[in-house]
Amino acid sequence: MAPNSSDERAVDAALIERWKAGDQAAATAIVERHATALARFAASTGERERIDELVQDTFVRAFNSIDSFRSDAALRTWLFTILKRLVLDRRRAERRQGVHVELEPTHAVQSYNALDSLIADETAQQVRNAVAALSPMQRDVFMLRVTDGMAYSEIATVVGSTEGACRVHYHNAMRAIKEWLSDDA
Amino acid sequence: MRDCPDGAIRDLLPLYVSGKLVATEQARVASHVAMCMDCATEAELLRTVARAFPVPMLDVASIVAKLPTPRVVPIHRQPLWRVAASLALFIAGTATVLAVIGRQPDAVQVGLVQPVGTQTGAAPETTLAVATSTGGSPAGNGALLSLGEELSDLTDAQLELLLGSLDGLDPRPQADPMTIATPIIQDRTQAPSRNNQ
Repeated sequence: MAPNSSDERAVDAALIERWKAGDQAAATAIVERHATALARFAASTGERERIDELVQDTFVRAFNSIDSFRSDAALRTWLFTILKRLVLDRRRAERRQGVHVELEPTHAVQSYNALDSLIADETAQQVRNAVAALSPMQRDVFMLRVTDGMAYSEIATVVGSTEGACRVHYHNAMRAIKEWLSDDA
Repeated sequence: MRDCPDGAIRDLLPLYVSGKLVATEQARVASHVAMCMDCATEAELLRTVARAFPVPMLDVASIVAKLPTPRVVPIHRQPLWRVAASLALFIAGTATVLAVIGRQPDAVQVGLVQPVGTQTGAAPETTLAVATSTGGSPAGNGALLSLGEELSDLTDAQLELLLGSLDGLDPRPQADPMTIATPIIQDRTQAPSRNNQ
């Protein structure tokens, strides 16, 4: 479905080889290609602070173990998988310290107050609330599908599920968001 | 908000919104959305979702600065003289090994040999030779035991001792070429008589 998925993989693979050969500019190109999508996904999972740090840690971990990356896989999927793991690690750590509270609708309203100046759209706020009300699995699947246009197979890799289950999660999430918005209206 | 009954199209709407479809699919979904109010509404909702999560500002340079440096494995190009030297060393080593193997005694011969150049009038020196051989002439490998005397000069007791020791040798070839093989006895009875001629 994705038009250039093989081309994208080829570009990533070439950049990785260039970086391995000592070309630091290739690393910059890789970060530029994927950092935005990673940051958006991190934000959609309910992370409110230090998203840049999460993205940075994702790249550091990826580059440290770049030899284990299989070139037949999509680099972006791999990066999302690492990011997802880091988010979970951070939540576990915060839960142990009693810091993190799972994103709740009301919490979402507060957490994005700082961004309201950038997004003055009331509908957008409602959508964020609706997304925050999803289960973590539904939210991850939905956001990866919507904001990044990932194939279900890739999403399944990131969230550790199956392609069919991800399809179901997506449509359930969409139905839940519609219901949330209908009730909220 | 209702759902379009065309599940396949609905499944593609997120990719349509993010422009991830191939051109033909993109056009197909676009034409459907243009006629389907439900899909148009859902597509707009998806765009809103995408806009609702703004991307935090990222400092790409600082991310890159903290990345590890690649472990570049340098390719050592061997100078030509090193290659040549290695090759010469290999050949020399191989030749040495072959020479050592070639010198391995596969037979030990015992015999009385007559040195070359003694067929003239001068009395030849009859020699008891215990020689190692690799298939060449036993005489060529040199005598290991030489009495240094003509047989005619030997006393009867010495001759009996010599014959006795020769009779004690096994005339049959050994299975193991490393052990003593066939004793070569060169005409020990005629040598003295030839000398007498």
